[in-house]
Amino acid sequence: MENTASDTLTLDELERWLVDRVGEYVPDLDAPVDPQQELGEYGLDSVAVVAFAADVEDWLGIQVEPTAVWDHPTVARLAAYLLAEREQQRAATA
Amino acid sequence: MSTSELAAEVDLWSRPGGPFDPALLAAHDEAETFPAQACAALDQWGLPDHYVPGRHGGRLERLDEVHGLLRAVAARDLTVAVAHGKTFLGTASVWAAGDSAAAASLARHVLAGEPVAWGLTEPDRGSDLLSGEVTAVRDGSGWRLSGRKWPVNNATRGRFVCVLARTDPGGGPRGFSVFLVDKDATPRGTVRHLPKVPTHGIRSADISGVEFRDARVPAHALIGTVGGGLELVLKSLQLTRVACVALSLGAGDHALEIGRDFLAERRLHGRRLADLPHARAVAGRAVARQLLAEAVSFTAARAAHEVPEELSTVSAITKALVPTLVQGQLRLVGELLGARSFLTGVDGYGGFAKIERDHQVVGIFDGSTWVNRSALATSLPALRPGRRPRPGTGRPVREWLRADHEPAALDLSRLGVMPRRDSVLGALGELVAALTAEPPGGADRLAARLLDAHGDLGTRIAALRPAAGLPATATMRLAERYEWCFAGAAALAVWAANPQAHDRPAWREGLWLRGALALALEGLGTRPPEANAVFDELGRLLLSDDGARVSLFGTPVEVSA
Ligand SMILES: Cc1cc2nc3c(=O)[nH]c(=O)nc-3n(C[C@H](O)[C@H](O)[C@H](O)COP(=O)(O)OP(=O)(O)OC[C@H]3O[C@@H](n4cnc5c(N)ncnc54)[C@H](O)[C@@H]3O)c2cc1C
Repeated sequence: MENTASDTLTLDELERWLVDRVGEYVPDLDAPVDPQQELGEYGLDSVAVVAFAADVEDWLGIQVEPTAVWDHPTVARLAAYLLAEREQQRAATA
Repeated sequence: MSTSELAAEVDLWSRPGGPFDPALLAAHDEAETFPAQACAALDQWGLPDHYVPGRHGGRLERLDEVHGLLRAVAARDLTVAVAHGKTFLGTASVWAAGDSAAAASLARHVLAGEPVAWGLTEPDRGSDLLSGEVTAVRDGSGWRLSGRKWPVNNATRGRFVCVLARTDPGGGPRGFSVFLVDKDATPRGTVRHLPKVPTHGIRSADISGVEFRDARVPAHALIGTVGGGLELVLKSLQLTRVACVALSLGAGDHALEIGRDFLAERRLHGRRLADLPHARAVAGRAVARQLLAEAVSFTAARAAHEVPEELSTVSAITKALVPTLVQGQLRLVGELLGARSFLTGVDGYGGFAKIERDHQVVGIFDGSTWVNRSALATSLPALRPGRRPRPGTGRPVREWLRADHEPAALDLSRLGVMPRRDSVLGALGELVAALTAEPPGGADRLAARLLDAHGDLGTRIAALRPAAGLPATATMRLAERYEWCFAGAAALAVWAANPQAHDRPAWREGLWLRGALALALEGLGTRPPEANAVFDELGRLLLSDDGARVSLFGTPVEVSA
């Protein structure tokens, strides 16, 4: 895994990265993570979400509240949210 | 002022015939009847004012003051402190949700002495908040609640109950909301009390439950947002967990007082028990546990003001460690007392068994030791070394732990669910270096070992594999090591922040600090060779004239001007 996401990150890339990350958290999964499936069903609920959010923060280089995962509870929705959030946070600090 | 005033009052009330007369409270305990006289005295004195933020007309400004107050009550009777202090817990969510008409209205009721209960737990659901089955469904502009909250402190006495209820049938972290139920305003027959539960300790408290049967509550009963309940509760718990440990400190004060009297009075084989080296070392170890517990609690209370963003971990550490430290302290005092720890009718000593029974609940409610440790364990990856460090915005820890520092105003909107830094443990390197420059009585050697242990912990945290679900046993162990490292760092920070106290009896030659560090190192699995000598010294301190009040800053901690 690369340490930080590239500046030109696309929604697709972000989704793929999230799918891989969720897969790491649930190593005994027999099928790839479904971007439309609720993350809670993968055990990424209130408990594991802090570490997950920390990973996302580190990779995207922006601040991400764990509650974002609650509000955008599938990979697809989270990716869309994060991409927008990243653009916004970068614009704010630029 | 208010802390020492209350402590003095409680002492007066503890005389024969007073509302805190130990005989009266023992009788309530025996009969399992509510200590109404003691709670009324506290109401009259104005303790409820300290549960209400200043903005709403109360006097809640500082958590270190809340600690001082609850500790003073708990030092005389833990059951009363649990029964009365519960209102602080019950209201926390309402204050944390921000200003609202509900907050203003609740403030008026609390100031008038109405108890407030906090209903999170449900029968058979235990600590798992997401499994809650009390539901709230919309009903016109309001809501209808159904289900049971049990066991709940003050569920029957409290006119208000703050409950977490499922508002989305599917549940999940956004499926719950908080409601403040005014039982008096619900339609007749829709709220039923569940009978008082007989308990091992705090027997006279109102430990009961409440059942909602399609109980209609108005729209303004909703606290915060629909779906925001879990987040709100997780944030409120950070405050209440920090406040709760004052109960442990008070129980510890009470036990040390009894232990000290016994050591001085008891004669064995022609000499005082106090002259038995082993007895002294056991007493000293008990003192060290109490002072370390105090250092951690004080740090947590100040952290709530200065670094609320970090309180999710600080509160978990504090609630896991402090009741454990004090429970161990009580066990040591119990060993010293021998038969008197077991015989309930012995004048002067009979109260000990009650303290020990009462205190057990502190490590169970408001999140058990394990629940808190597990919360910390799941946060560890967010604290791993080498994470892009967030620049600290506030003052350094050695500044805000100074006894006479005026803490920043409580800002509950800064509470979060993910820690991004740990200002206390993060300062360990600096604190150890500062100590080496001016080593008090060999504390620097102990501190250097703590620094090594912390380095090793960092390596292990960095190697943690992410995982969904509850933490593995190995991760729980790491969390426990984290707690001990944090406790040691807190002790060092309190030391560094308070040079004005360095010539006080417990502080001279770094005495309490050495005891605290020795305990932390023991917790980390090493046996510092100097431990026994330190505990012997602390035992002597307890028996000296300065031992009447074992506390870092003098009991009660004096905070407000
Ligand atoms: C005297 C008394 C007063 C109380 N007052 C109130 C009150 O006012 N309001 C209220 O809401 N509740 C109250 N409670 C309930 C108390 O908070 C619960 O006991 C607590 O929530 C734990 O539930 P449980 O005992 O069913 O244990 P369970 O949750 O079933 O736990 C069983 C064991 O598993 C451990 N455990 C649970 N979860 C985890 C985890 N995530 N990780 C690791 N270990 C875990 C526990 O530590 C325990 O050892 C009170 C309880 C008592 C005894």
